[in-house]
Amino acid sequence: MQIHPAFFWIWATLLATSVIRLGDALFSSAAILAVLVLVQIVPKSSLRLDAFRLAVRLAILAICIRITFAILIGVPMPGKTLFTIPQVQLPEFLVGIRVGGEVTSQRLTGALNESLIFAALILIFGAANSLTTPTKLLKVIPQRLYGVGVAAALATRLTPQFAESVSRVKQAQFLRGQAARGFRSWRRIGTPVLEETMSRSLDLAASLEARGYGIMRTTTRYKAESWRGVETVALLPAIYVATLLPSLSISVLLVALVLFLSTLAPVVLR
Amino acid sequence: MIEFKNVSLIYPNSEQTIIENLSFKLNEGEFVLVIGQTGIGKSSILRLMNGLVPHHTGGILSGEIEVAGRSTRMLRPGELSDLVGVVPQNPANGFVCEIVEDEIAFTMETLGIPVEVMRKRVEEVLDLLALAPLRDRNISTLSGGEQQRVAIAAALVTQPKVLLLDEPTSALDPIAAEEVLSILHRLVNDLGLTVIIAEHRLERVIQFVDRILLINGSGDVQLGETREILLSSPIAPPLVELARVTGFEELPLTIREFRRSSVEIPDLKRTAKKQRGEGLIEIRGLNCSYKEESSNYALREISLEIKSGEIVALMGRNGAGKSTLLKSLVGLSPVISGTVKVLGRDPRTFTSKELISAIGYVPQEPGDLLIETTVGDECKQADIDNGVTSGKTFEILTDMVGPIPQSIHPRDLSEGQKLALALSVLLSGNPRAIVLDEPTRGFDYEAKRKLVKMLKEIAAQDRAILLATHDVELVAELAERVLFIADGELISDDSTATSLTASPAFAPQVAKALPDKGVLTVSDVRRAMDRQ
Repeated sequence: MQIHPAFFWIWATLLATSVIRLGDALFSSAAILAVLVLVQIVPKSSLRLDAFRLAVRLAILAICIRITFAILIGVPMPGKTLFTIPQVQLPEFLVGIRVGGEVTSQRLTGALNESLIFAALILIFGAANSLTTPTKLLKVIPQRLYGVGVAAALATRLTPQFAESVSRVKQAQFLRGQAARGFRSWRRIGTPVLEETMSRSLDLAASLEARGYGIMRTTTRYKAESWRGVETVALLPAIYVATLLPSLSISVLLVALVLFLSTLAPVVLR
Repeated sequence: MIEFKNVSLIYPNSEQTIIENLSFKLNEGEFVLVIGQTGIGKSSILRLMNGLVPHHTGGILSGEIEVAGRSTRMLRPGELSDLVGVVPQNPANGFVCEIVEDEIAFTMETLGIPVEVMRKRVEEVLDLLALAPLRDRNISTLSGGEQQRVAIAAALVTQPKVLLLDEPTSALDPIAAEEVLSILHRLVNDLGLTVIIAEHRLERVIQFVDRILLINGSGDVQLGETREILLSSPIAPPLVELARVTGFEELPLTIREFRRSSVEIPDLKRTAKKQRGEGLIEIRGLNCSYKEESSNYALREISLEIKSGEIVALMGRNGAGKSTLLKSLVGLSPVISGTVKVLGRDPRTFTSKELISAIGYVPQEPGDLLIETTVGDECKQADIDNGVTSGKTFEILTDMVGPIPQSIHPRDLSEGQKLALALSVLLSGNPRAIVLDEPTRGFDYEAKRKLVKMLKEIAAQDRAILLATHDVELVAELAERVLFIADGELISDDSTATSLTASPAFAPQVAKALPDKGVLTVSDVRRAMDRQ
């Protein structure tokens, strides 16, 4: 049996809600851990690894940017001074903002906390995206949401092609006698890739249009995508953590982690 | 079945009408071919028939178009999807699903057809197009011909009355193209389907079609029986050109019809060209895989040599390893064993700058090489990149295709001009060898003639040219030597005349019409007759 295409997206939304609602570094780390474990144990054939790798890179980038900025820029904060970097003298009207200067522990932990939440959100949705076959998702989106359906089809179908175009154009630029480097290379690769993605999107949208997508109120399924009891059961713990869990203590956190891992039930049961 | 009444089409912000005051009527159960130069509006006419133009693309339409009595003006394309099936120019871009069976069922799902009916129809269509063994395959793993068949199946499954195909064979090898066309022919005869097809390679289709819609200009069209149109059409396949040269009472549409007339021409004694020039490309015992760390062989034990001044064609079926071989020449294929030498060096050791002065590679999509927003900027950039005097690249371009306005966007060039621009960008780096992957996709006969002239001039500058192509007529006109690869192995390396007459699938029309005469092209026949 296959997992319902919407399962991982609902699961991701619930998990993301929990992460934001609790806003806690430990909990975010647990969620990241849960996602990584999930990606490890699903069968290789049902995971689009390229898409997930992209999410991992984005998450790492988010952490790096947030922490770099926390060290360099910000309003002065109390707390224990960890180290001091040279401070840039700013004009007087920028009172309260500093560039460089003392880096306090409080500032750093705050930034770390936030960046972990960012990273968790990116990874959660990255996993949901790479675990769902985009075209199946398209079929469970009601056709009345025509625009949403087309947008989802375009976005999910073109992401892997986009990566393919980038590497192909990079090769072509090398063949043209220009090894791509730095910011200029991005423009050189970006222009043809964007043009191609654009024309591919138009082709796909035309195909959806020509094939009657969004015309009828009722649609039928060639192969039924069924939502089974096991999927609901698997989501229960996530629903609990996302909506009811009052506050965090270490023991509750452990319980939450165990519960999240139980969301893997359908994967294991398959 | 389809009627155009005084149809005109213009896009906003454009001064030129795409179509002007067009009227014609196509009957039920006809197989109609739409011909005309590239960019004359063939695709627009096809897309008008199911309402994609103007509903999807925009544009201002006047006049009336009726398909089976329904006006496309008021209906969205989707509302015609039970009546008109469409196979887009590049089917790979139009696939919505990943699995063959799901893709075929998709339109029926959106139309809300009951499951039992759907199952029955999917089975029927799978059988009709011989796709049953591929039903569970991922579409991206299929060959071009198979993908084309899937697209046709997906269009047929709603049991439409009209099937529209935009250049269905342009990406296919001769054998796959033949397969697709004979299926269409059968559908017309068995199901009474109306099929409308736009195609440049007339030699592949004219024997199947009933009528031709010839577009001469925006408002100037002729619709008539195949013979009647081809008698005076400026666009004609080699067989018709041949008949015009040798004289005929009735125009032949098939090789059989030509042979029955027993035209006699003298033998053309080919004088073997002396091999001169220095060896530029040398491959010895090359084994390649498709991807890094893959053990599947894409190429096995390939050995060959190409000298300067030579034009060599690389042929073989889709997926035989042509692109892998071309890429190995610029160091982009994963080599398992064997050596590749370009100007005596392994191309993988070239830096980008050294590469361009040794070998220029035109990818399947020449636009990949282009980055700027105007032709002028593109040429200037190439001047700077390759360190040549300012204006040199544009000069090369003008030499090849005549004056092109510098301010035009490369995307708005015709396919032929775009290829010429990509070639000039490479040529400004002064490479000794040029490699082209499928250069004539979407080319009309005129564009092909220009390309032949261009490439011959390039080769005459003591450069070597290697091109991979499915187009046998192009090879007959252009190449001196043909390499055939099948399943990764080089199975023949011989002169064009010998190679192309060895197998009927890869023989040009003239060679089939006049076998054993040593002629491959219409110009060969002219020469033979002149010598008489």
